[in-house]
Amino acid sequence: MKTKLNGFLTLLLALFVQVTFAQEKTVTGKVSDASGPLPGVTVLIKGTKTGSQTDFDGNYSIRANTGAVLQFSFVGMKTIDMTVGTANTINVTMQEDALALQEVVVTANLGYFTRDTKKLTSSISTITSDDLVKQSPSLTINNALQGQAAGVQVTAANGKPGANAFVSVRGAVSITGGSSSATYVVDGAFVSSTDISSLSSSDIESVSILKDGAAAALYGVRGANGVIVITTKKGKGAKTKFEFNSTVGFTQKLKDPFRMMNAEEKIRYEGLIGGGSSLTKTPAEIELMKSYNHDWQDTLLRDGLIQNHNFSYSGSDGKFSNYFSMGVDENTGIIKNLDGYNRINGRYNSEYQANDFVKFGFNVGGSYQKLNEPRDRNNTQNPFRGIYDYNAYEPVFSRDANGVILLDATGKPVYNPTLAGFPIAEAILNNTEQQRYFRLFGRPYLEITPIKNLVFNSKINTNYERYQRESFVKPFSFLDNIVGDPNARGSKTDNGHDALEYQWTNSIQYVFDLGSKHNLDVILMHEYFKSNFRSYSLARKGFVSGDLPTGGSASTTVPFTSHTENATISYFGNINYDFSDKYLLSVYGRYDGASVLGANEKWEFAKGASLGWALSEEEFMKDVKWVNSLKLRGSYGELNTTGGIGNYSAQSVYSTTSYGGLTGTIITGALIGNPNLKFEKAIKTEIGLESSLFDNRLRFTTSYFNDKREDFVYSDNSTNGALWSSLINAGDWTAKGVELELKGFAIKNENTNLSFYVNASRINREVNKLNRPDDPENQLLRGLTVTKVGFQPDEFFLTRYVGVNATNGLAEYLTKDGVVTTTFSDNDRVLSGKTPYAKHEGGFGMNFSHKGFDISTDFVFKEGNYTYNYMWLNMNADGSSVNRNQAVDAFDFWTIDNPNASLPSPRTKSNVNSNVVSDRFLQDASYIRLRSLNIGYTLDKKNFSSMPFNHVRIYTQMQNLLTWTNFIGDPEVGIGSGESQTTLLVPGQFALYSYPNVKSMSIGVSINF
Amino acid sequence: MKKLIYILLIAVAFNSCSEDDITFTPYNAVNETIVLVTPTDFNNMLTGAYSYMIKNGGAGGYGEEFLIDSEVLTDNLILKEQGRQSNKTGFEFRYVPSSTHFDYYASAYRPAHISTKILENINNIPASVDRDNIEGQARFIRALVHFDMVRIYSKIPSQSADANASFGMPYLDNSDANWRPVRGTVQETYKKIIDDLLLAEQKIGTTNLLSQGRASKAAVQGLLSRVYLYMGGAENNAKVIEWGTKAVAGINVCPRASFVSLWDDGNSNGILFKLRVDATDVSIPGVPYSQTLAGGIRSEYVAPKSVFDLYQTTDIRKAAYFSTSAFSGKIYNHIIKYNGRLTGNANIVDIKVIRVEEVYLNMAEAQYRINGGGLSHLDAVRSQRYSPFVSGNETGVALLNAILLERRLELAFEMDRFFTLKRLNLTMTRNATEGDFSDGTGTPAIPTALTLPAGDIKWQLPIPQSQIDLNKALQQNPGYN
Repeated sequence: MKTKLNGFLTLLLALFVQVTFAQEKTVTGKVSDASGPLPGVTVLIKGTKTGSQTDFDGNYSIRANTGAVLQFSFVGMKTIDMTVGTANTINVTMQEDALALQEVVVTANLGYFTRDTKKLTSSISTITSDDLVKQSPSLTINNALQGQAAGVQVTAANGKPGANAFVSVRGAVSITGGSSSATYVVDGAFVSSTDISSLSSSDIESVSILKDGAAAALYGVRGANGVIVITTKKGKGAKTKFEFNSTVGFTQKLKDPFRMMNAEEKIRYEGLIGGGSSLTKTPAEIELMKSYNHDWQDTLLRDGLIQNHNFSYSGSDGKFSNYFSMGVDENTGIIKNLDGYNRINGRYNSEYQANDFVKFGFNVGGSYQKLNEPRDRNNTQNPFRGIYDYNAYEPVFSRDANGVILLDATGKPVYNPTLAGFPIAEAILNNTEQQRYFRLFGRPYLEITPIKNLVFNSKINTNYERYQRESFVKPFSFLDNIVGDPNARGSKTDNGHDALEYQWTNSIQYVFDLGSKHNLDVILMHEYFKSNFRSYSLARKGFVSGDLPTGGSASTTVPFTSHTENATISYFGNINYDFSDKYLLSVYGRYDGASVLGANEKWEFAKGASLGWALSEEEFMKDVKWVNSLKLRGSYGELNTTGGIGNYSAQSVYSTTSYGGLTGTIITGALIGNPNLKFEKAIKTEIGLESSLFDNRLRFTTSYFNDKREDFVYSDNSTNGALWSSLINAGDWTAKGVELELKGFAIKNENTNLSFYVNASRINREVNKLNRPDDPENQLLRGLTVTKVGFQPDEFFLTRYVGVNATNGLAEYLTKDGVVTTTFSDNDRVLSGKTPYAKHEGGFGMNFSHKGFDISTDFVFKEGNYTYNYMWLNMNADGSSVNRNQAVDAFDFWTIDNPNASLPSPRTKSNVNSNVVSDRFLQDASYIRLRSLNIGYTLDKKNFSSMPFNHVRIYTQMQNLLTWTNFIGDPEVGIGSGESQTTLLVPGQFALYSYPNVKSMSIGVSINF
Repeated sequence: MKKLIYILLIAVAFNSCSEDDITFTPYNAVNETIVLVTPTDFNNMLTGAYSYMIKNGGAGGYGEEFLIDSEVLTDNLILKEQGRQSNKTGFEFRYVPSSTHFDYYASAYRPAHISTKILENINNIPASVDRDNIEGQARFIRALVHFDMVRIYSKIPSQSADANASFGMPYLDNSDANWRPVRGTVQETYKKIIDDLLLAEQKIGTTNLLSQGRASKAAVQGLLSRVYLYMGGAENNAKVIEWGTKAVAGINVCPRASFVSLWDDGNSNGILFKLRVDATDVSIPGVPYSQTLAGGIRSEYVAPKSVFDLYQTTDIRKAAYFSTSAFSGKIYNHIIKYNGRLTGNANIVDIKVIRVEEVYLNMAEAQYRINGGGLSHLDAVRSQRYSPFVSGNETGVALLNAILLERRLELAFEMDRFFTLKRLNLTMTRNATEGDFSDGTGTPAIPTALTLPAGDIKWQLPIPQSQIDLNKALQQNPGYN
């Protein structure tokens, strides 16, 4: 390694030698607007990174060559270019950019660096804070990205308060299992996809999504699935600005497109099929059962309350800038008696320009989250299974033969365990689980400009997370009575972890002075990332009372502690060149090492290049007035990635277990090591076109991309008897597609604005190679889906269902060879061509404003994705689960008198089980959803001069109001079942009673002063 | 000067990492290279193999499911209609390769794999009594789980004339995780089981404690008597007697006075091998049968009246095995063999894998086949169960029936009934009108669950489809598709 470093240093020294200094002088001046001096204006020598800012009095000073162009920019003002002539003073008066048709973001944030969008040769989608505020503040930031950028797939994990979303870029699929989540970079620091939920969307200035390989290359081992760069707000502008924002609203479970049977219907159904608990009941008992009729959804669920209050301050005196914010968030969720989610967060960002050479800053953010968790499992310990499984004739409390509620020894009503065997209404009260997260992000940074055009940047990012979980089965609760110790009642588990990640990044950037037409800069970077994780778990029993959760007299499991760590080292070099903003070239190379890889394969090189051609800058385009800008770009980028590899998964390790009072060793995690486990490589190629037409009234960006994964990492469980699994580099796959972002301004004048947007992408995936010498089928099975060469990743592999035989009422299937049969067999499974991944995905919407009034809508859509609907299978069980409630649709089963029924003859009649996993319940989960609807009215000083505030906006915000789909249930499925789907997670593979998505309506006010 | 310092700073920053910074060994585990070096390492690994039978994949086996998986296939149990309907696929004989009842793979293969790993590396440590003891136990574990596999998924040699040549089960005597074994024949599988057990019998030590859930020489001998009984034929029946006699030497049948507390782990009289289960082991063996609520025992399966009535009132087992009590207003014969110790969490007890009583009954049956005898072995068990006890002094068919009845009564709900019916090629019949309540009313079994005829393909459980998907060399049992 040392040799390589020395190489870098030699290169660096060579750069110094070649530097030639041109004639330059100090230019000073004052920048003002209509109301007076304007502090915080950026003054940049065009085509360089050299710049300055105006101070509190609007004064600036900068050293520049004669002939150089000074660019003055300020948010909300028109950018002004001034050429440096003979005069040493240049005063500028800036004008408000009322139409703001220019790109709001003139620089694209690459996380570590920013770059003038004109010089970009990469595919980057940017979402501003204006787009984000339209989404409900109760959503985590990743949920709020849905439909906002082309080629970015966002699926809510589930509807649980505070739950994250699966975000993937350009069809990234993790065949390893687990989500192929994009990486988050907040102010230059890596943040995990779970930690990101601690960030308040009101602190966010902008979100840039880096989609191609060349752009994501900076983030190396984490960038392969795309990078989401989040920039938090900084103090800017001289005037101190306070903002207060507050919303309150409610949430509701999305309505099912079907109805469950009521008491009378279920009893009738049981009679018709000849199965169920009502069959042995007397008429009097039946009448009593009917009288208990209630809807378990109403019994167990409620409307949730959401509220969000946020306060922020920002300000700058030109040298010292500050941003401060505090917020609270609450989302009770829709389960009765369970206060789902609370968050408090705060942030302080500051930056100080000490002198001409040194600038430093410190960003610190923290949050405290509290979640009261329901269980997310595939039985009635989960309320969302309970609402469908419990029969309407089963009362909440147990009744005696006369229908009188039974009381326990203390006089409290006894909860009815029901036919499902578990009273979830009781468990929500008496089996509590609370999770608490304390997170602290700190980022000190230092920027030194020792000589002109050379910037050295050093920053340390630390992410600290403290997690605590308490899961308490209260003494004498139903569950305790079943599993507990009669002599030591109750049980409780306390577990948690401390996780500390730090990342030290050092970079040098040198900008060459080659005359005004040629721009060349070089970046060298080194980064070390280390993660430390320590956890504990304690469990005990013997509690006196449910009100004493810290007691306990004996251990129930062996207490354990754990410590793991991982690290990566990266070296990165990048050269950017352009000729007069017209021809753009960027090349990079990087060398990465990661601790999680096999001992023989820890290091890997990766390279890439991108090219751009700004056609609109060409002479022959100057006369084409309707084209404001047109750029053609292309890129090739390789990235090394370690996605999904556990800290020691490449090693064969043994851990301890106890048995019979002795110590034993067992294979850790049932995982066998692989010393040859190497980086998975993402190879991303794209061609894109960006344009702005008709006075900037129409803007579009389109790209064709080809993302190839080589040697993707897969947890291979094909060992003999599925004994163990092992991580291997299993093969190659490709995602190809096109994406389009389009924005049009139909009306644009002083009073009225009307604009539309569309983001859409189309993606095709294919598996190119699988390397599994021990598997004669050469395929990867993941539950319902299979991955095979020449097919799409994760194609559903199911026996085909034909329908109901009109003569005998039996379910009919197709054999592998296409022959109709009434005998179901797994040997007849075939690849269906259907996957859980959408082919087309995107969003569209509009914004309209007239004077103070504004309205905007966002729609999202997905097309071509399939989800296995296990819930619907259970609600139409064809007589296989007589004790479970059924959907009303279950009545339409075959009988001699109903030969054209939609459902087969129930098993209780036919003795044939048709409650099997065939493609009958594989459903098209395409949908269009009205994601958000916002209506607001803004009062500002112009119209209401007596108002003590600068501006006040009152608004209402609605989320998930309408959905169009053929899926029987909510089509937006991420996690199928939280506790049953712990490994090999394929988002959207099946729906199995996870926390449902909600619609929300809230009202809010935002005040600026 | 100032600038030079800056540049030096930069250089230092760039030089701060090395290869060591990305090489970590785990804190919670040890690397494979150092796990099989010393005799202690081998002993720890062996303990791990035992533990795999009840946890870390063992819940499909002795840890929980095995205890009921074979019993629900028999007339010993009836589905309690108001239960959770667990294991109903088995009870109603609806199992097919994709919806398996009785998936014993992980529970068997993990201990087998580890045992084989121990045996492959055993020469890493110098020969000693301790080494022999480790080897003996590893062979015992391997033989036991393979015997279970082959009796579940394959025919039993004594079951039919074609059994020996039919599909056996692969024997994991190769620790290559990517090995793709073929099934071989029943005869081949039994030969490997016997080979392992005979070696185990020679090598196993004398210091292994039953209380630590470790196998003894008597355990190996007891298992040998069982395996030879399954193999059938005159020669093997003689082996049943030979090994059975050794197994019972010096070990008394659990006396009547201790019998109830045997099932609360109050004593371990007569037990040759048991798997230890502690509350910290996460396995809860009794749950597949029942859970106890404030309002009584909530069973998934109960004993029908006809089974309960087989136990005479003078039989201590009636109290040891059953609780006839109300749940939700109805009275059932709940099975309480696994519902927990007197102290500690409910439903946690040791799993009695081989008891001396079974060995006596093995010998009684073998002796009967040899020369019509076996009464003394039978009475050795019976005399400790009934009070007052008077021997029936049966002979001929009456004696055989008495032996089989006593076997059913003694080993009820202990993973025996299904295999006894299977190996004797008998038909399993349930009463069509008898319900789940203790008085015989209630919900009877559905018509398709009433009988499993002798020779039916369902006596051989289907190989799980997931296993065939992984290993195409693994043939499915005839009759399943």
